[in-house]
Amino acid sequence: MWRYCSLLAQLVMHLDTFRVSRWLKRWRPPPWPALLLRVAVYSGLWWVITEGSGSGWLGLVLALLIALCAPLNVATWPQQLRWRRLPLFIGFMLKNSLFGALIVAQLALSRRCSANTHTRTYRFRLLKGHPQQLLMANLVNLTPGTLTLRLGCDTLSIHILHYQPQIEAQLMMLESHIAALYGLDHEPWEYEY
Amino acid sequence: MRELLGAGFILLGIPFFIASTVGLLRFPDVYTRLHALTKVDNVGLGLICLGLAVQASSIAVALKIVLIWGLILLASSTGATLIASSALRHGPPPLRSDSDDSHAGR
Repeated sequence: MWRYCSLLAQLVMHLDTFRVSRWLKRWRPPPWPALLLRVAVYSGLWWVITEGSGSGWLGLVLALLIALCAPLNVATWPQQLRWRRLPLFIGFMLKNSLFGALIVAQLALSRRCSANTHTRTYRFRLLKGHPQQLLMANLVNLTPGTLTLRLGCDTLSIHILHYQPQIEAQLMMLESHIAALYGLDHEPWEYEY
Repeated sequence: MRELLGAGFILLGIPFFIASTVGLLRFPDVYTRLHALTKVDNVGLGLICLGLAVQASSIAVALKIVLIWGLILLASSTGATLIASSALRHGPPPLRSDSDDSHAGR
């Protein structure tokens, strides 16, 4: 117990008071609906991590603390996210991921491992915010045959394992799905690929 | 019945891991190997996690296993981009299909 107290005291001594006071000045409480949703999600995560046997009160306090601290960065939980579209989006990504794995596995196990590799630059058409572009950069790695090399200014450098003409359309479709998840308006033709 | 279903998912996941390892050994450069690691491994792990979740003793344990898979998916995807951009900056450029590697596919 004393060891923990001395560790805590050392931590407090090393705290940069200027940074802490600046952090506290910038702090604003999140709106009630967002706070309640976050507390519910974090409490649920606590329940899952402790396999339902952890202290409920401790989980609730921790969830509340994290929910109150998290909104300092406004980009963490975008308000415009369409949660109802999330199951459909997860289904789309699971299907993509399975196809991607099958294509790579087929290529790896083929007699002559002749991959037609290419690099391409993909320009974002719908996603303008950095969090949305970052999400797409991550998800490109799970779609068939593509890997993000670099996220640039409104562009993605992409490595293609086995080039096929429909890769571009596949990336556009992924972008339109992410745009739909964020509630961004876009032309309906982009879904037709 | 649950045990059988779980075992089925786990058995289905194993070939993906084998294919991923073969890809890691056979693919010619770091970029193509990352394809094998991010895609095939994750699906293999997903199927194994699904098999374990089906056999889990409670819903909380099953959800915990699925959560682990989700976090690994996120970490592996982000890690692949970081490794690829670092390789692009400091290592050799990606091989083109017209620049034949004599060891590729052997």
